[in-house]
Amino acid sequence: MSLFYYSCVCQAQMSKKRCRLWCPKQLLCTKPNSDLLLFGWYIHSLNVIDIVLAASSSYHPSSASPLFECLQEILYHVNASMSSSLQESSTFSTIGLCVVENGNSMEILNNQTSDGFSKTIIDESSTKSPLFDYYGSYCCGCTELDTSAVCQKNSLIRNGNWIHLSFELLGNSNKEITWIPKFHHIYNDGCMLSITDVHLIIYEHPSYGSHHYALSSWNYCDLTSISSRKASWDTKFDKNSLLPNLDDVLSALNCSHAAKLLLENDLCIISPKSYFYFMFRLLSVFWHMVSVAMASLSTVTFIILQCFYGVISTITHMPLVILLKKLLKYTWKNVHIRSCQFLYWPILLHGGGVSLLRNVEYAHKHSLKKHFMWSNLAMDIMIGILLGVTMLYNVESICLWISFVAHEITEAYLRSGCVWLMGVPAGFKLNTELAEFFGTISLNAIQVFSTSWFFMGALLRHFISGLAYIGIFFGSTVIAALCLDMLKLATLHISILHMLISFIYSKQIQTLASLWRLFRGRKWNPLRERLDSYDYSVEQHVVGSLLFTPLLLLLPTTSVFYIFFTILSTSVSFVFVVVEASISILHGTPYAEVLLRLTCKRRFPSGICFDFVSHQKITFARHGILDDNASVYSNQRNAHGTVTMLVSFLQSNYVALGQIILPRYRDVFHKLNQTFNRHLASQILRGERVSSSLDAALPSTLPWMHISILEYWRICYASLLACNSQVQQQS
Amino acid sequence: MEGEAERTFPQHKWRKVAYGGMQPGYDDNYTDDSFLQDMVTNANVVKRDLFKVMQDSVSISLYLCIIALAVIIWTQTLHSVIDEASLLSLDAGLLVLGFLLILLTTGRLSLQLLLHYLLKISYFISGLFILAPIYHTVTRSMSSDSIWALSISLVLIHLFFHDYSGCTIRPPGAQNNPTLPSNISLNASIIASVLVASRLPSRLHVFAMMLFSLQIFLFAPLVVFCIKNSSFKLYLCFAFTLMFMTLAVLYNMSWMLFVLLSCLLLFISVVCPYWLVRIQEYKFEINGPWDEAKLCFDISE
Repeated sequence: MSLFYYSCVCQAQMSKKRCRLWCPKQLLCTKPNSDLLLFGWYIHSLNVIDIVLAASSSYHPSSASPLFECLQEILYHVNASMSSSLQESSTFSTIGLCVVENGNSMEILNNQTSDGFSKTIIDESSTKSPLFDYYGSYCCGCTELDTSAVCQKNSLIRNGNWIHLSFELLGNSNKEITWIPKFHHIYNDGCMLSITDVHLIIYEHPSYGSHHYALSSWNYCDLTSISSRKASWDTKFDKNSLLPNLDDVLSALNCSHAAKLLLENDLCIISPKSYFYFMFRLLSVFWHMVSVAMASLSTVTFIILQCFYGVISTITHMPLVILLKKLLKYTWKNVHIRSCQFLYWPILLHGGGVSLLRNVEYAHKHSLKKHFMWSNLAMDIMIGILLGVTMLYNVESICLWISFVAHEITEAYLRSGCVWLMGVPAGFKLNTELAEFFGTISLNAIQVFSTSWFFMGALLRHFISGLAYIGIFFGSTVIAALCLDMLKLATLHISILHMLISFIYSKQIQTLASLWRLFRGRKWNPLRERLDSYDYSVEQHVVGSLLFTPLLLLLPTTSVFYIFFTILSTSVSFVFVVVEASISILHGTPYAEVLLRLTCKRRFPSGICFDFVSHQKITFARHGILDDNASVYSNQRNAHGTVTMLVSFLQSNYVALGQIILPRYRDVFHKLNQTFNRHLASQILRGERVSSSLDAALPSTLPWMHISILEYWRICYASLLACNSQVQQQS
Repeated sequence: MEGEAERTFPQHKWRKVAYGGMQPGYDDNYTDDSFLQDMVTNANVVKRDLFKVMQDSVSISLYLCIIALAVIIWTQTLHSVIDEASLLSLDAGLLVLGFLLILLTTGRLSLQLLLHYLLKISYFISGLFILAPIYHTVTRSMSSDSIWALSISLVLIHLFFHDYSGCTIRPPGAQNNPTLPSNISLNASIIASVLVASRLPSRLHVFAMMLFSLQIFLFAPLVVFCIKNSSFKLYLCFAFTLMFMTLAVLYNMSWMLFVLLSCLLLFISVVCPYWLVRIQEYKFEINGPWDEAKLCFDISE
């Protein structure tokens, strides 16, 4: 018994009479031996009627299969398991019959549809009505079929929607498909419609793991427009009426695979799976072993984390711990995030509803979401192991390099820079006394810090080994975060000096500004944020002008020192920002999506397009099987001219790799916009404190998990098994 | 025909209205004799007397002489002709003299007001003493030429914007607040004196110099104002004495400067008043109902 998935979208407009047929490629590959009973959806909107054919089975009118007796229950069962949005728009049912004439190049598709719109005609009335008889016995030229199949049709037909299609065998020109259907006629609600345009669209049925169709662009991008690579929409279809309807059509297309599988099971048609059976068994045994190993590994991690958590939660109120927490802020945050990821990955991998996954599009999106966290975790730990091992092997050279760089920076930039500023830097005529004062303070601070770091340098070797071990356990982001915190500690003298000098500078600038306002007779009103007029006395004025002169003349000295320390601290901040951004990028990169995009780009469609094959015109006079009794029908059609047939392949546009990754990174740099730069510049000029962090987005943390070790192992094991079984089910 | 039409239309008399629209029979820009009948010419013009103007110009000459004397003291101190002790004694003498003059000229000076002044002066003196080291080093890295150029231009700005009729420090009972030009002039004078003082060799020098400059720029106008208020004759005597004193000092110092200052004084007190009186006859101001309304009472009360 050959089986077909036959999906047909018929778009019929009462006034314009147009129809679109969506056929799966698999149906058209092999020429059917017998008549075909077709199943699918009939989607009818205000302007358009869409018929989606999902599956088909051989149909012998003479030898009625007992399966067809209970067909209605089967169809009901299939429909109930579809996604609710599709159930709302249309019902899965028999939609027609395809007649293959032996030895003839022409076939007639007798297409009966049923949908929510046209349930007024029930079984008995439709079969006994003269209309039904008329079309069934005379019009289609398939009298022998219909007369013998009336009793079966009673069980098949619930409504009076009909489509007649004539089929044509193709030559050897196209290797992929052997025949194509041709439109014959259509009934809607028992009334015959005359059709002028038929658009036959051939698609490959979407399946889990291979591809699906999507009308909108990628979910993270803005829904602006359907990117049209070929822009080859049929101009005869009005775009406005087309687009809202296409959503339902595409969800039907995406569900067609699941419907076909369910129907197959219910009709007891089992594809020859035994060929791969042994391999499947072997694979599942292997997967069980992998699951046990992974679950045990993550359980060990779980035990270690729980122990650490117990220790830390007892001593968390000690002042030393609080100080340490503040010093190692980034490390603390990243370790917390990483621990939550360790704890929660099996739970996130496990979840997922079944009914939603009938739609291949939803299944794909759900799997991407599911695989995000663990792929991120695994990738990060792999990078961390790589870095950690490299560090462990090169501890000596890293220590030497770090001490060399620190010494160079202290000598070449800090000390000589301060000495240079105490002289005549860049030809500025500084106030010698003030410059000497600032310079001496800076040099003293630098000396104190470099002495203390000299003693701390003995611990550098142990620190780097510890960093490597932490990286191997927690991943590369924690290495980066710990480096960031250490860098903050090591450049504390620069930030302290910068804070001091920026305080002096900002106070001086503010005093000068307020004195200038005083001379103009103005006063800043901070409550109303405006300048008020101010009657000041001469004494205030004299004091103001006595202070104004030295402040103005000492401004160059202060600003030169301020600029020097601002440059230093800004370059240090830049390093912080780069490290912080790289941490966020490591956290936010969707490794699973990138990998899938690289290997299987058909899983990432954004918009559809049509690839036209041929443009044929069918006149009913050409078909010899039409007898005189059908002349009313053909005349009615001819009143509207010929039927235009358009054949095209459904293709997808695919998302670019950047479109997948960039939206994730946009959150990281959400603070960097135009106002940010302006704000930063004004902050630096006014000598206010500039925050050295980017506030990049990090993954949110979840509450700590308190479950037993055995339970955790079970969850891990179950989630890994579920992952495998789902893949097997869907394929 | 046209003449007849014109003659028939003007039954209505033309009225002077702002928003009446075009009146029938008259052009849009038509006016008659009643249009300017409310106009008044030269209503508020005061006839200026040459002698009176010359008397008024004395205040400018007097202040010019005071500044000239101060600049002479500056240069002499910078050239180390005057040492810090004599400068300090000069400060003290000027302070005492000024107070005596104020006490003598204004009868209603009470002990409380005197104490008030003394307190403020002591504040200033202590403040200046604290700030003197800063002033001493503030322009050390600048060259003397730029300092001189800056000071001279600042003194010129001070002279240009100075309020010659009133007084920077409010004398007891005065209501008006200082205006923006007088603020600018005071600022300019203080900055100039800071710049000059910063070139001096020692901190005490700087302190004495700053005190002297403040006395000249803040107190001298007040003293002159008080004298002028009490008796105009005394004021004239004071002014001419000071002028002759300045000229005498300058004559001893530099002949050219003496000639320059005498010419300037002559120009200010003779030529300028004469000019002013001469150009009075070209004065033509009109008033009428189109003027904006004026308040006839003081809004501050």
